[in-house]
Amino acid sequence: MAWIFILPGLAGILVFYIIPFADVVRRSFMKAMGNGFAGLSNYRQAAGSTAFQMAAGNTARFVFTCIPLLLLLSLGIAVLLQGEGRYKHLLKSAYLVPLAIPAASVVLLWNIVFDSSGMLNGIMSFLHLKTRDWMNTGPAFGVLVFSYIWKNLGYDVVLWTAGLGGIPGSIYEAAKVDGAGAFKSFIYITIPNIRQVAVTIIILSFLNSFKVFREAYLVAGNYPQEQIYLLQHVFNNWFAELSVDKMAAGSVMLCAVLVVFVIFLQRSWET
Amino acid sequence: MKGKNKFIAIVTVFVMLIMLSGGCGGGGSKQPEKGRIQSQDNGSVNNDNTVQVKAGTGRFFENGITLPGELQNINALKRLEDGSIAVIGSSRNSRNGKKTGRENSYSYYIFKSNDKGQTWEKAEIKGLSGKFMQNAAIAPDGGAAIFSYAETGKINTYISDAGGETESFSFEFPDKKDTGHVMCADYDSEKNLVVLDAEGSLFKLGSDGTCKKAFDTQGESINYFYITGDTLVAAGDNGILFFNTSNGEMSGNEELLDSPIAKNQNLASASSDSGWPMAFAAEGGGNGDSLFFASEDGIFHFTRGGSIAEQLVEGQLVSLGSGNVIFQGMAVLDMENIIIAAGTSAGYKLFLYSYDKEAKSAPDKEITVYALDESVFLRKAVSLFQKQNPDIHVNLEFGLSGDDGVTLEDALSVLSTNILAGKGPDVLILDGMPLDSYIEKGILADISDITGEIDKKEGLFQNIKENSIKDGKIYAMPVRFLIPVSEGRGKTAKAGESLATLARTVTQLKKDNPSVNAIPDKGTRTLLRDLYYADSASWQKEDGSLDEEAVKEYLSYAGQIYAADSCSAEKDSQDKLFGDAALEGEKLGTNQSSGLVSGDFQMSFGTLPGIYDLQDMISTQAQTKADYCLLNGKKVKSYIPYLITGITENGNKETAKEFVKMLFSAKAGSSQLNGIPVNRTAYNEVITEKLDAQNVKDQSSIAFGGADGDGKMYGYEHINLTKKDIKKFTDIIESLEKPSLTNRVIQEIVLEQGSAYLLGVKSLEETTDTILKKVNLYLSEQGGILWEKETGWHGFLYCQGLQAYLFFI
Repeated sequence: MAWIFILPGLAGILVFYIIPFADVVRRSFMKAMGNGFAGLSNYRQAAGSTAFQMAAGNTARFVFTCIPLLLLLSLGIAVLLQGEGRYKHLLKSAYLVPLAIPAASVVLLWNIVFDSSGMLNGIMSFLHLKTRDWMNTGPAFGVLVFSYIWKNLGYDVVLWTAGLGGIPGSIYEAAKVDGAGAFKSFIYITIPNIRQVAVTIIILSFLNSFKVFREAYLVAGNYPQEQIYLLQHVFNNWFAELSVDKMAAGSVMLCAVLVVFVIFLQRSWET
Repeated sequence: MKGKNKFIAIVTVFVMLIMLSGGCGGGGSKQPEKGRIQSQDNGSVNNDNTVQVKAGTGRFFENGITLPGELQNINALKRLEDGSIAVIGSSRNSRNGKKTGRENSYSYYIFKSNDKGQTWEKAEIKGLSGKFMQNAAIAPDGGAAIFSYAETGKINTYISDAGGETESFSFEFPDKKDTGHVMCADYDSEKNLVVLDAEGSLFKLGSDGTCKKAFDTQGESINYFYITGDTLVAAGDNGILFFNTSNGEMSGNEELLDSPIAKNQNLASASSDSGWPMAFAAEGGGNGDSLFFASEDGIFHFTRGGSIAEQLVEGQLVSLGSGNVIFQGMAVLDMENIIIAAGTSAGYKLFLYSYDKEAKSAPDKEITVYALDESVFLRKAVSLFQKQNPDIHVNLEFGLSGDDGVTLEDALSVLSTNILAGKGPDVLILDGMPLDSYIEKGILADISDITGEIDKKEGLFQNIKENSIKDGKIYAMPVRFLIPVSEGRGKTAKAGESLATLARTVTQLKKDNPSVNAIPDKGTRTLLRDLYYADSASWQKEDGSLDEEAVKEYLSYAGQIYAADSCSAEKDSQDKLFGDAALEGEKLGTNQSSGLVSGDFQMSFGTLPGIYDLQDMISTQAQTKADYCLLNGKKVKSYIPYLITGITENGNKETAKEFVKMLFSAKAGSSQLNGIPVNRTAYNEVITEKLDAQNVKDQSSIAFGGADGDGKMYGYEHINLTKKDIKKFTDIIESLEKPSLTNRVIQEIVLEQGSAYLLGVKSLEETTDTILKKVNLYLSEQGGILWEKETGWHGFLYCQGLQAYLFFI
């Protein structure tokens, strides 16, 4: 019976993910138009493209800046919320609010705050500080990181809270009896017990980090400040100008990196 | 029980699978819905009214009817009660070489035909010669009512019998709110005249000059009406209304007819003194139950209370869809013959639509022409092609309609999706598209055989043609082009020869005469765009990247000009609204010669969009004693390609080639519309016409003018071009070296960042740096070939390593 229940879901995954991706892999070895075999030429062109290199670098930089920051911050908040407190449920909900705000509203907020004649520059000039064009200069990257963390913090806090809730209270009580303080309990009880949850949270945060393109695109368009030019910008632009050959090759490379990352994460956690 | 659960589970799974497959399907068949418009045997009509070609027989064909006798204008057309048709029109009184003092006056005629317009009986309407007609209505017996202005401010009405004998009376509208203009008129079944005033109200006229408001429109403003039997059909702002002519009461509306109005908001309100954007007619003068409706979308037949309207003729396949068609009337002779009188850009025309039972119901060949921007020229070219090739259906698609929020990126992505799905267009108008990328990917086919044939037969401007050659082939070539010019008096005449002298001159002019603008108020984007068109051809280095010094220089000169004669913020908002100087499909020029006549500014520069504008500029210069030169011509002699045309490799190449051949031909090229034709014969035809322009010859001169900034009136006479004028202009065209950069992504980056610099938000260095980074990033996205040159083996090894790593995993 099991296969019958799996069938609808599997069919959906096959139709919407596996088969299209197989076509992407096929296209990555073909010329953009027609059925001519291109060998590795598309991979060479994609990997060698300055735009792709810059976008890959920015995306990696973004991911490796954001994820540790997000994990630490959300874990810290989740641990604090674990304790006794009158308003912890209210706080938990408050952290989830950014997640419920539509991208269009977030973009509007960005424009109001970070525009060269926006609110932030208004405050800066009131304080006689130097104003900046936040979205078209170096700080644009910081704005993107801030936006990602602001939006995803609540979600990760909820996930950590669920993980923390699964640790039996008796272990902490036993440790307390044995004289362990809060820090030692955190290091020797909490961390080992949330390792499995951590893998899920890291993977989800990693995948969510690619969604930040939406805001970056809506605020700064196809060619934003070079530090917030991400892989999705390249793919988007390549598609618009029909460079599907390079786009397919780039997608396959990105997928390979994701697979490697996930496998690496799982293996390193198991050992 | 267990078996029952299993059965339910299996059924549920299959239902889900069926739903999944249904969701992936192409939408399945659609049943006709109430209120939809459906074509007659012409295949099915989609919701967007595009016809899907289907085999079958029977179709209406368009034939031109030669205008009777002296007629130059048509004011009304009607089917008479005896089954014949009548036309009221006028002709200008010719002077035949002698001044008569009546050169601008007209004589009016009633023409009647019993044989579908093959022969006509003429009757001159007496007592009207020299009068200026506002409007006219034809009576069912062949008589007519003609309305003209009276010196008293009233409206003179001349009632003519079929032989042209007239009686007259004058009247005025009761509320006297408007200036006394009859917008539309018709006879009811009791031969009473019904007239429409400029306020949108309907009145009945008595022969004694009484004028009474006779129809309760319930606040709705009427723009056009038609009477058949006891029914008055009126087009209001929000739809079609029906009135009973005997009691003036509204007898309902017709949802089916509201859809063309709802689809095109401008349709109802586009009525003017010279005609209407739609026409109604009834079969055999019935009571309005069986009505015919014509607009630019085509001719439709519907029955009141019915659920569908038949599309008898698709507008795009005939002259009706060519744009700028103003209807004067429609007459249904029988179900197989319909006559329409219309004003077109080529003058007034009579079209006969006849049904051919044996002809295929729809063209058996089909091509799609795709352009990003609306173009009146393209619409006319499609219409011309359809008339020449009734067996080919042309779908004309515009990616950026301007009213649905679609961005350039969205439009290009949709185009890419269609091309990848094998549903791409056959002909691409590549203005604003990534042309080089398309050529590199093999999307475009070689059209050098077409251009070669046209060149041999009719001639092409060689410099434009040669600039289109890549690797010995022509993948795309502009059908028309514009040039950037600069004009001024004395020393300023040649100031635009380089941006450096232009900036210096503008600064000096403003310094010497601070109270008068040095140049027209352009706004930041138009100023930047004008200079971009004149300078960008020199920016690209051999490797495709932009030259930093060239961009910096351009920005610096633009900054100097802007600083010298600051342009207003209002102009910037107008520029954002109208975009790339293109308005409703017309490529407008930005050079403003008339301002030199009015004294609003001291010199002008911008784009010159065509021969008519050249004549206009030369006419002003006869008065201002100014002269013109190619803007920035000392640095780079550039032109602005317009309607860059290519054929897709995977499309219907043979049919597409026929269309492109027509597009480049002298017949299409000799249009007076924007752009200078690349076809030499067409160019010669259009420009030599200006040497001896009929309008100038007939009336010796036409005064053009307006009010200057202080409200003081000014004017200038339109004059013919001289051989010297033509030689100078032709020499400039033949000297053109390079097209300006046409890629819209690059242009948009330059304009956006450049505006920030002109407004003082960014420094010159910062702006140049941002432009270069963004543009070079864009170019590097496209530059696979560029990379191979630069990185060679490193990239190859990187990929080999990646392959090995993937294999290992």
